[in-house]
Amino acid sequence: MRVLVIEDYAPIRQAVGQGLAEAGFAVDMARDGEEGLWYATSFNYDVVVLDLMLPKVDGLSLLRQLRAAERTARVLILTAKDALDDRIAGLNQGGDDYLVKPFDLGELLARVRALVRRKYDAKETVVRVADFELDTVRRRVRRRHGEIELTAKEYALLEYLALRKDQVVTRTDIWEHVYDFHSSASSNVVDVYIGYLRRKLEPPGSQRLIQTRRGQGYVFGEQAP
Amino acid sequence: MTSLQGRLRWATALAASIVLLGAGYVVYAAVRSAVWAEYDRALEAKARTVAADVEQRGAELELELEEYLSAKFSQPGFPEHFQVWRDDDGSVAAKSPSLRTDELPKLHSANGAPSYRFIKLPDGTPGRAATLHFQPVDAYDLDDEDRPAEPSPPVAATLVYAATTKHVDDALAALAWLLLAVAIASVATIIFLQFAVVRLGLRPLDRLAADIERLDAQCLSARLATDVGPRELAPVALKLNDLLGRLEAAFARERAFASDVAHELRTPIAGIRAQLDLALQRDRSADEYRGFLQACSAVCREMQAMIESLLAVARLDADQIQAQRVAVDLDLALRDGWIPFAERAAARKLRLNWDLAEGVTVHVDAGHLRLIIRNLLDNAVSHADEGGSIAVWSRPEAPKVVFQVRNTGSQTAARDAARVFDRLWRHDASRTQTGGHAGLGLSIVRRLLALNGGAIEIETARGGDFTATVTLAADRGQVDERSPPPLAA
Repeated sequence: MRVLVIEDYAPIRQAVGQGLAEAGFAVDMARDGEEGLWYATSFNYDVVVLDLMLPKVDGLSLLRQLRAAERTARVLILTAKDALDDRIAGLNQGGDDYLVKPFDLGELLARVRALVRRKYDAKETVVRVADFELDTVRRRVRRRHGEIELTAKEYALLEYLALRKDQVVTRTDIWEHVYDFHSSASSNVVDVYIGYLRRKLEPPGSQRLIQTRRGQGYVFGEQAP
Repeated sequence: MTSLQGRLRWATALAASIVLLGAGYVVYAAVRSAVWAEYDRALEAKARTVAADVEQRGAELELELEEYLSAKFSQPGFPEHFQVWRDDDGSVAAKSPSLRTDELPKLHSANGAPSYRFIKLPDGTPGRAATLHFQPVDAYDLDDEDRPAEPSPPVAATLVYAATTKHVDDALAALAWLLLAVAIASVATIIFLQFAVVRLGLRPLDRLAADIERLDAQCLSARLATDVGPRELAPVALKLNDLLGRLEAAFARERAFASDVAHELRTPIAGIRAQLDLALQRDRSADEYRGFLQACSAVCREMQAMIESLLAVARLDADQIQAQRVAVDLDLALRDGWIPFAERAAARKLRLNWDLAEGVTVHVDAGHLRLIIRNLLDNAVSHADEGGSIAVWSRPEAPKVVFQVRNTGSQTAARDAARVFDRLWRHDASRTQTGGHAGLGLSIVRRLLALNGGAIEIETARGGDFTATVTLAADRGQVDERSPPPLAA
């Protein structure tokens, strides 16, 4: 899942960015409203963590422009203003959630995950397909024959596929949601990682979960009979 | 607490009582003296009637009362009496039958006019006596055959005529009581009316007081009505509204300041918390932990500086800081002040242009000047555009000294030039863009300058130069140098 952190105060930006990255998110960071708006309107983020008091372009007008550009990213507003009016203004402008500084980093991660689930209409924290189980909170993957060990990147890719189960997912989609801006990887690495995942996820004799749609992309789900 | 109404009430009641009782007494005295004068005239007339009936027959005086008088005086309990004395031997020549065995007191009287006196009548009731000296007429006519050939020398006589005064006393007493009753009733009425009138009249004041009572720090937006009360109260309400307006603005400013302070402190705390939370998320290498600790330490230093600035502002607000003004070499102070910023300026590739007049001394608190210079240079280094320049110049303008700190790449629009002095104001809502400045520096600088008899002016244009011009008093030594040297030198 790809997250954009727009926060002008470096200690918070760094900690939130690193915390999200360590939690398996592909993270981009912006230092001011202008930079943030460029990122937010250039890529399809799943979640934007947005500070309201920003230099150059303030948070609320950034939010308006983001919604005007019809970006579907969920927005978690982060601010030191806790007055009710400010919260209402933030939510009215298209914010999806609100966190008042100082906040607990664990809570921020949980809220970002919840926003991701909301974005993909997942009601539960666990995605199930046949005997496959993906726990988005504990970041664990199981099949009938036991727990499957994945690298962070493999997990991130699988989580994205699982949240969009039964839908055709293009390589570009995957690339955009799993890699951050500074990653040098090209969309070709997606195929490589799909290969790794298939090897770990689909041992001989088990049901196949990742189908290839030639010329389109991949579909995650039970094989059509 | 004394009540205005109560005091008014008692003062009016007292004044009304004094006036009414005084007036009553004057009326009573006038009536009394008129009554007694009338009474005395009647008494004299009666005395003269009786005296006219006293005749001298030879050496004897005899009383020939007219019949109707004789009948009157013979009535039992008749409240009028008379008695006649001969003046030559003092013997009683006649007395009224009503006196029976009793006698009237003989009073002294000048010849002619009768004299009057209150006496006690024989029956013990109060009375008034008129004393009259007179010459009884000769009983014989000139052609009277009984007339002796040798007439006796004439004998003078004294007549005392007394009459009861009970009815007059009663009438006067009744009058006195009536007047007293009228006075008391009037005072009571006045007190009551005045109470009602004062209450009615002061009702707008009561309303005003009630309105004022409803005000408190929570609802300073309320205003007193200025159009309903009487004309006299309108200025009071207006002045109070003025005061309320100022109070409201001050409270709003303080509330905004407190909330801004909370916000300012929340952000660095959030930074520390995020760094610490992240550090504790998993086991890390010593280098990673060191990185988190360094980040936290930097934030703590920043918070400390901010809290010290806030404290300085609070102390300046509370007038707790005093200036110990001495002679300070401005050139040295500016150069010293630059030392902490040299490294940062170099990192931001800023060019520095010095143009300082040498040997210029200012009359200022040395510590305050250091703080002023530090804030101005800090602002310049933080706000100048990367690769821009900073210019610092000074020159004497007797009896003042002017110095200026100017940086390129101002982010502050010209229309905000005055707002830079507001506490916690920044050209931008954010904080990092201004190098973590809380927006207190210039506010502190201006207050410190005011304390030291100096002044600061800001000129700015967005994208252009930001110029702070400071005026300070020159030290007297400086001024003397410019005056002609004494001849002895």
